[in-house]
Amino acid sequence: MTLLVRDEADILEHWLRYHLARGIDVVIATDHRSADGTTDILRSYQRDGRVVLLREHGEVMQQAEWVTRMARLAATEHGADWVIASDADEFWWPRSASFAELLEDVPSRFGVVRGLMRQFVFCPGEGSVFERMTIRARPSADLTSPYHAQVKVVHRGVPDASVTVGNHDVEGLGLRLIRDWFPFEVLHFPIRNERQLVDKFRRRASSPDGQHIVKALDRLARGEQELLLAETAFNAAALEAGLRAGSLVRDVRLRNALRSIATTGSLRSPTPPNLLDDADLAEDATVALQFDGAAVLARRCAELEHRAAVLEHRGSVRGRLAGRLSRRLSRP
Amino acid sequence: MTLIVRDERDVVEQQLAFHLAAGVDLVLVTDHASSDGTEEVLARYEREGAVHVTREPEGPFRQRDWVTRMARAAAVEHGADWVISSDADEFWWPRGGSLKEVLGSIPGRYGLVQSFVRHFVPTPADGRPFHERMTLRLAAEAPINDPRSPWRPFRKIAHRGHPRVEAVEGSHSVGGTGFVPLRGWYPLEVLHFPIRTAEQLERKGALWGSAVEKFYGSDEVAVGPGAAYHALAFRDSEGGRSRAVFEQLAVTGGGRYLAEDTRLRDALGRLAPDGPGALEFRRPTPSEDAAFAADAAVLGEADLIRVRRRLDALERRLGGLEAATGARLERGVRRLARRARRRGS
Repeated sequence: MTLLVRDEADILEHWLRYHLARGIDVVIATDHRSADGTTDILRSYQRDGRVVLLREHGEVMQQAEWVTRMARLAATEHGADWVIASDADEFWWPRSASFAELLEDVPSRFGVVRGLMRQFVFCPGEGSVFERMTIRARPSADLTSPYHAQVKVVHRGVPDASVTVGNHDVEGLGLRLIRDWFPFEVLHFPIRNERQLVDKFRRRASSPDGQHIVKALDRLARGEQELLLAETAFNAAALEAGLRAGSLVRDVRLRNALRSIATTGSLRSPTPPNLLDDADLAEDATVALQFDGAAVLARRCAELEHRAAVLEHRGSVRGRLAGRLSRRLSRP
Repeated sequence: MTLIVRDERDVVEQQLAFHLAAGVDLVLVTDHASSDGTEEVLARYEREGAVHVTREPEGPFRQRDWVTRMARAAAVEHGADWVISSDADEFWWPRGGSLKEVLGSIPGRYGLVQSFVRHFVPTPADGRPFHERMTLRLAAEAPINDPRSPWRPFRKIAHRGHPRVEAVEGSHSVGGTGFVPLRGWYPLEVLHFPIRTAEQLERKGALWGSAVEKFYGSDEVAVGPGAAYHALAFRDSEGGRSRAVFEQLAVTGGGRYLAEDTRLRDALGRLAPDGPGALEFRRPTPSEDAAFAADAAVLGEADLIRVRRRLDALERRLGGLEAATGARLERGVRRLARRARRRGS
């Protein structure tokens, strides 16, 4: 697994414990200018060999480049069969069985499978993030929302892998994708407190890759921090209304997993999903798949077909009019 | 469930027994002048109450109209929550839970759900019913996009009951409802047995051909992507080649792109001979899910190829438009030139 991190000491320890307990062999981490204790946490895991630490000090975050470097390192130096490119606010949840068992079942002709992002909403308050934030939103189709629909990828370790910005796609020899299948969920906690919200977006000013980042930066530049907060935070009344309407869903899986790690030091395999879990996942997947290359192409194709039909119709109307006119003119 | 049949004696009994045990409440059937014994099977099920038959006399094969009529009747007269428009050679297989349970789990805002069609290849006829000997399923690793192939990858959909639903040829969608499809999940499979015996292949070709010969072009027969394959079957049957074609298609052993799949055989074997008990459908294991996802991946790849074909067609149309524009421009320029000459003289 690879990790790109900057100043996420509030969740990093949980992130490492969780993924290592889930059976991840090695985490290759790139620490970009952390100053909040993140580096120390990574160092403490580096000592027992579970974390390989790279550090970057440059001003600008070069996400795709650094993630690609880690993915290649995983393949060439660590012999990784599969590579998961993650951020510190993403908790990868294999839907049934373990990471290894799930990935073993992928036929060899495929090299990429997908994880579906599950967006946990910001519930302001004190105390542990994961005790407090146990409600996720149906992902938004509006790309300027921090809770917009996204897919992530897991790929076979190959020396020429190239991971794109945002870890949504990967290219490389033999990396054929299974498009419509989500064996993993990515439990995502993008916004956890007000300070982190502001820092998160400010820091991306030099590499605003994503409409949600552009919009948040715009809000901050106009001094509309309160508005940005109001757009992303859910208070008790909003949570209750959302749960009733079905736009929000309670999901305590990660909370329980972290509790289990804290009390027993270990983690049980995830409970296999039932029919309703599958339907719930499909609902989020439907939104995400709207932005899939094939779906976007088909939509644009349909739009162009419509425009061509309009032009053809106009052409034939003009032709008929011209014919009628010339017949009339040629009458004696 | 709705069903159009014409001389389907070798499958119709299994079709009805299976679906009634899999969670279908009622089957609305349009019988297009069957005369091979199919009509007797239908009458027997009709007496038991779970099947309603509308009989259409010999004449045009108005598939789309009949499917539309039945789908609307299912919603309006029988209060169906969900409607599956099936063919006689299709067996709708729920992936964990009965058909009723699977469809009941679909979130309310979605009205269409996809199913992945699984093609079973013919095996040599040896006197046994098709479901006992056809246990090899095609597991293509790449999409077969030849429009003349019966093995093209495709989806079908089930839809919520709606009084103004309009059937679409091939049942890959419906019109008239505004229903939103649930994507990224295939909770249903359609086990598809299109070619079963040489006689059946010949009959299928002949029936389709005669329907098209009489009514082609009068909009009575919708000619969709499956038509090329049917047209081929028709030509084979006309030319007396059906048996040879069947023998060529029939598979005797396993192979790289074939998977052993005895689900239908076993399910029908479990059904009591004297009535439709209830079938149980276990949830697939993670490994089975992975294999299914890999098979279904060809659908996405086929979609891309279909988009490419649409783009090719679009390019040709644009070429035509450009040529027309060019010709108009040229005429305009000539006219101006004539006018200028006239003025000059």
